[in-house]
Amino acid sequence: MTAKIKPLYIKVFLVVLFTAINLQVEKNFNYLPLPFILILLLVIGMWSLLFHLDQLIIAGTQRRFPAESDFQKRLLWSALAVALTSLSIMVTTDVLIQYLSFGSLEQVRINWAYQVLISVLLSVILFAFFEVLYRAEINTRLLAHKKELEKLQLQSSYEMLKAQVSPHFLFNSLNSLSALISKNPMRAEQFVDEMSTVYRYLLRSNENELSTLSEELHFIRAYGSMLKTRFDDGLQIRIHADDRLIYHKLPSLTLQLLVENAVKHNEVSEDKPLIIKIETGNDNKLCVRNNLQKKKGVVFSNKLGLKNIISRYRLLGMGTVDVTETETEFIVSLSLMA
Amino acid sequence: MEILIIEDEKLGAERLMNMLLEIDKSNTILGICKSIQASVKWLRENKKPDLIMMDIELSDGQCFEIFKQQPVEAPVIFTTSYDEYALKAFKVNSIDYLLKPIKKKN
Repeated sequence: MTAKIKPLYIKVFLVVLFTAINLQVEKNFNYLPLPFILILLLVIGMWSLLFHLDQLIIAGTQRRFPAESDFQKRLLWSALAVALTSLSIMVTTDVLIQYLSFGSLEQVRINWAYQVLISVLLSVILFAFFEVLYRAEINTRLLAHKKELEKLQLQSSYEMLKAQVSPHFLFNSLNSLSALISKNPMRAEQFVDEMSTVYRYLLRSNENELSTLSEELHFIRAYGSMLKTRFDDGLQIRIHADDRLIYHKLPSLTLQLLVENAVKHNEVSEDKPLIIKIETGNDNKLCVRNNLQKKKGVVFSNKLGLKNIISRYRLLGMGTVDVTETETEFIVSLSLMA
Repeated sequence: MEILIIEDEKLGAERLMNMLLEIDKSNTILGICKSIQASVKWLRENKKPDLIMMDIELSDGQCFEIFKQQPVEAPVIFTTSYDEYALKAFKVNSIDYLLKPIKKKN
């Protein structure tokens, strides 16, 4: 912010005001052998110059010490600089007027106490005035920033919720269900059960939660079964879990993300089935691997899935997630928490 | 009308086929292709269909790949489960897009 007094007429008003006060106070101007108009012009000039310079100084200190907490620094520097500047300008004008009146410098008298007092008063008043304006501006800016943050947060929550609902998965599933109803009603009923299991889990899990391996596998079996209805034997999910690790924990929906990823990026067809293996290993590790048969062309993906898992693992202090891609396989290895 | 269906999900293809035949008994389904590869091959070896019903997500990629490998002169109706792809579909030569689950009245 530059401490500008806008608009111009306020500046003019102040100059006129101070000139008037000055002339009223300085009664001895009347006794000087100088044409009044000259005195008037000099005084007007002095106040204009004074306000202009003081404003520049205060703007400068605001730029130099912009934080709201830097109030004392601004006060110190402004007060000093403005007082000194005002003092010099006022004294110079005073000397000038007297010199022009008396014709020589010897008779010039400076009332220092008076001049210093005025300068200090002036600097305090000006500083206070501009400081108030400055604070108001900081506040407006902070408010706007806060609103922007709120908006971003809201947007982020919304995106997360949308992702949880998985619109793509939902509509694909409904389409399959629709076909099943007339073709195979019993399978359709089973499909609906699986779908409600899946959505109950999807919607109740949130980012901060941990689930047991048992819960995750229960969900994945329902989820996998739904996918198999769509893909037939094109998709195979094989689970081998050690009973001892079944109550160990991992971030909710980790398996869903990994399976979804595998299906999204790879070809799934009966001639080239996609086989996803979910296995526990040594050292409390869980391994999810699939044969690699990448889809051609662009896959619509915001790449958040795997990154999300990695960052959640990091935040929970659960160690690293190892992602390995060979020519034939894609392997993700994660730790389970006891 | 002679119609080609390009759809990788068996259930989806069956449902679409039934619907098309219900709408007009004289409709013939020329074939069902499940992948980009199969579709390109079919289009090269057969005469132009009157209409193509094309799913955007196929087992080996997105249907737009088909257009890159083979000129398609028949009119195309795209189907998709979520409208993220709709805009991209319009850039390719198409008539309209239908959202899944496909309703007969559409």
